[in-house]
Amino acid sequence: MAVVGAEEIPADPCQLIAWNDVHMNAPVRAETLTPDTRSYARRPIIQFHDVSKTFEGRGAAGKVHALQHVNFAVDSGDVFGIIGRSGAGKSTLIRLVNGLERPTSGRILVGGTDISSFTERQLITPRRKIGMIFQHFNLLAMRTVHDNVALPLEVAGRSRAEIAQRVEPLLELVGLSDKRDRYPAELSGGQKQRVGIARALSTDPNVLLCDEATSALDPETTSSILALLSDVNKKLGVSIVLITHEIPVIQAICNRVAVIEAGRIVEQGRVLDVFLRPSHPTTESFVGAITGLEMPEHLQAGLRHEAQATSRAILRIVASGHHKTSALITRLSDVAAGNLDVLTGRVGTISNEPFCGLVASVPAKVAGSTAFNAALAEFEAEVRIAGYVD
Amino acid sequence: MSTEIAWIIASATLDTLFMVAIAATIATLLGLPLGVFLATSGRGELFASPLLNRIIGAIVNATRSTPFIILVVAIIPFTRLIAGTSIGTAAAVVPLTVAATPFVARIIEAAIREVDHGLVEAARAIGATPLQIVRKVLIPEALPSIVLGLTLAVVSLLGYSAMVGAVGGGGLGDLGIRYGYQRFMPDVMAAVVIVLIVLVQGVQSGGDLLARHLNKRLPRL
Repeated sequence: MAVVGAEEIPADPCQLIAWNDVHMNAPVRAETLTPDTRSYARRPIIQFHDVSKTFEGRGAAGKVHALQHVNFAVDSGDVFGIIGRSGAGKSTLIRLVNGLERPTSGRILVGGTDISSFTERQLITPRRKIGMIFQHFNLLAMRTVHDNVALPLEVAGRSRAEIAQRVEPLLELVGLSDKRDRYPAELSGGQKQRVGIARALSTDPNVLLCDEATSALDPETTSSILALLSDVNKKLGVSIVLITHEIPVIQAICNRVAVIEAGRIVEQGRVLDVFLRPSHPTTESFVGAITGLEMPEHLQAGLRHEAQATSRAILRIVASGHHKTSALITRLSDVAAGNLDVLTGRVGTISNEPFCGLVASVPAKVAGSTAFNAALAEFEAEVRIAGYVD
Repeated sequence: MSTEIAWIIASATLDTLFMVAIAATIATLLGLPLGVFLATSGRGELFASPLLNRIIGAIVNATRSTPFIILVVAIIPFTRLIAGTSIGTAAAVVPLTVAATPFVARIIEAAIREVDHGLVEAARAIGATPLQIVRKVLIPEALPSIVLGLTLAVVSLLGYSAMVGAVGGGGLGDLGIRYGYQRFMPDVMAAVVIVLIVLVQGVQSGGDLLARHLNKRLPRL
């Protein structure tokens, strides 16, 4: 990877902030000044080994292969996003983590324990260490906000005093202290999801599963819930596994992502890598709008593989890191003697890291020149030639 | 209407209330677990036990399809076993309970099946045992529907109780038949009907009020 060379960018978001500070000359943040005592050893907290899930259909419906040979690992501290279209199997996948669904084959390790053969009774203990929130919140309508958050503690047999001690700070964390005696029907969607988050955190879990947690919310509320989840991850050190069909959710808070299609994971890795260098068409279609590397349709149709003497090369240029996009464009334009067209592009951040993605055209012979590639290397930018136009 | 008749009506009303109250209470105590079981023992459910579910379901249906007046006569030996006698108001409680229990069970089953499946999922996800799910999720969430259903059951019981005069059970129905019909006393008949109407109205309004008070699904104004 051109940006960092031999050094690996840390996947842990907390480390990433520190990494950004060192490598990107950003002002030092307060939180990096106080030594964090948490362990950042990259130990896997959830592992899927060759997991498949088949639903036995009835009659003519036949078998449904919801998941096939799924492998991935979520490390402690990760915000792991799983993205796919509806019906891709992501809902089944997340429900396998806490045993709401049982795998047909394969092993599922949670905190090192293989839960794939656990009985419903045996699952009770691990479930108390795995919080879960839902698209439709699933709050008890007949319980107040306070009592909803208290439910997991009641179920775990905690004392009244313990429950009182635990619930109040959680309500404060999610910003609902003033709603403690309200019923869910009296809350907005965002507030309901905050109650869901407080409830999921009440037993102090290591992992939080988010099942399309923001899909029923408007964009503004979505941002505030995502910010809260990110906070929960950083301040409480809770690892998060989320499923979504919305790529902005992945962009906003995940550090790792898996793309799922028709029951298979087609691509996975660090969000920045997967976004900027997608290798699967599904991934490309998901990330194109975010990275600015989506080829305009009229261009796509006219692309050729062979260059003529007068052809222009269509380039996809990706740069991540601290370089200025305007400086990159100026430099490339200079090398191309002013003959650089930026066709579309995007500048922004992914997982808190700045990037720029450009689709540009230059004369074919410029694209192949040493000077042009040297200029790109200067900015640690990568280029792929998508094709040529006459 | 003489004072004597008024006293008889008052006493018959008490008899009816006694029979209905005892029968409704016992039917609820028996019907609640039965209804919960029916609602949670289907294939793939919390206490999955499809065979037992079908057997109990069949018994419930059989009881419910037997006309009440036939049930009263048919179970006389059972009534004698439980109450020591098959005649009188106390004995009439037995067939009333037997008839009301499966009715209540189906009402509770329907109310519990109405609870959003997502709540059961959420409860499983927090590590609740099946019994905890019933106690802390299913029954509390279904409570307003259960109250409305029990109200319906009590109203039906008021109707059934009119028939137990056939085996010597007292109450308003018996009074209406013996005085109003057989002795040609239309004023007694009218009084009985009015008292029954008032009772049904009272029970229904009380049930509605309680259910509305319990229901937290609508925002408070």
